[in-house]
Amino acid sequence: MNLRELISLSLKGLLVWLVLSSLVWYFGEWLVKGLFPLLKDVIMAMNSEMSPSLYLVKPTAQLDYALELSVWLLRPVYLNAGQFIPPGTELKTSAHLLHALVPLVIEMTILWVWPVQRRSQRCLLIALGSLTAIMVIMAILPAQMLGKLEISFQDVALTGKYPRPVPWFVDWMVFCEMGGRWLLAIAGAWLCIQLQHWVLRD
Amino acid sequence: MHRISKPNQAIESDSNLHSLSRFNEWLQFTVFVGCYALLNYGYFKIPDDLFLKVIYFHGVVIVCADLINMLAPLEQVLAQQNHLLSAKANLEIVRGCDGAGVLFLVVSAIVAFPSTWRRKLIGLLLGIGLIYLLNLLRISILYFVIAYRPDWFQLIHVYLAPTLMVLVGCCYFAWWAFGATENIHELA
Repeated sequence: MNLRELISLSLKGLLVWLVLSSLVWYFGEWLVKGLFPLLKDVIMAMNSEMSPSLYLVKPTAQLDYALELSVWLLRPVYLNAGQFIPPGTELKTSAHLLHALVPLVIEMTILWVWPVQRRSQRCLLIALGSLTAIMVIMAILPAQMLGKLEISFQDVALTGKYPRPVPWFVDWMVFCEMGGRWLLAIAGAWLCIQLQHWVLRD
Repeated sequence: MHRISKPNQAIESDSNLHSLSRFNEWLQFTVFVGCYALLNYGYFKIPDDLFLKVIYFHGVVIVCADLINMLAPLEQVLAQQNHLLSAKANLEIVRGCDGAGVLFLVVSAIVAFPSTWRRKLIGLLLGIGLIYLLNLLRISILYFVIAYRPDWFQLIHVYLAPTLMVLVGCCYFAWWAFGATENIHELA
């Protein structure tokens, strides 16, 4: 690869990023709505004490949509020795739609720019990328929303004796928010490239 | 027999090289992820007070305040701990808003990629400098956004800035790795 090819690769990356960004800007709403059933399943698997509902809302001071998670507590949530939230309480939290789609855009940009020799290789990369990007979103988004709820529980829990233990998904959320989501996107793209080599026996 | 065994040996040798190359790719990937995890772990061992009162204040906030005041003297931005304060905006720099995620990706990729130590060191220094400057630019732009177009803040903060920074990080790594492999080929 010479410098000229490297520059054209970078420009191609920028162009693909622009196209994908436009796509998620206009169609991200539909994409995430399509993922709602899967998202709900993952949230219920992570926390069986809540009944979740998902909505897309457009806050007045924002240009993009927010994904709102509304949960009804099925069992009491004990915060510490003296405080609990009774069952039947409705709690809400939200995440930015575009923020949730960042890993998808990064992974697909890498896969569209990755040099290949044949069109079949590109098609396979994109197909595998679509699947792994959904898996990456599922690994991040439910933990992010449940983690935000848990942090609000912890704020109260720490004011009393014997605060509730911090669940694993809070640490995972912090890792993802710190840049782990980009690592997952890059890891997803790398796995797709390896799978494509393996499937097409390159 | 002799004629047949030669191509067979060549095929076997090619297959061995192929397996070795695949193994190396997996090894590099494992080093990349491991290095990222290690940097991330170390980052959370740094106390909040040190970050907010020393590192962010001297390394980010003062520099950004000077940059903004130089570009737009009427803003009269004040650096206060981890805050950029003015009459129009109050921008708080918190953990995760320091470009550390992209920096860790670039550093891990350079460490994992096969090259000479000298070239890795140059790559790391240039990469850290690039991400640091990009982050200063990002924070200065975010200040103007929150001061004049607050409705654009979330879009730029949670989507445009991070994806562009990762993209620039990838391009920088490709540029560095391209030079690194060219050097290896020259040596061979």
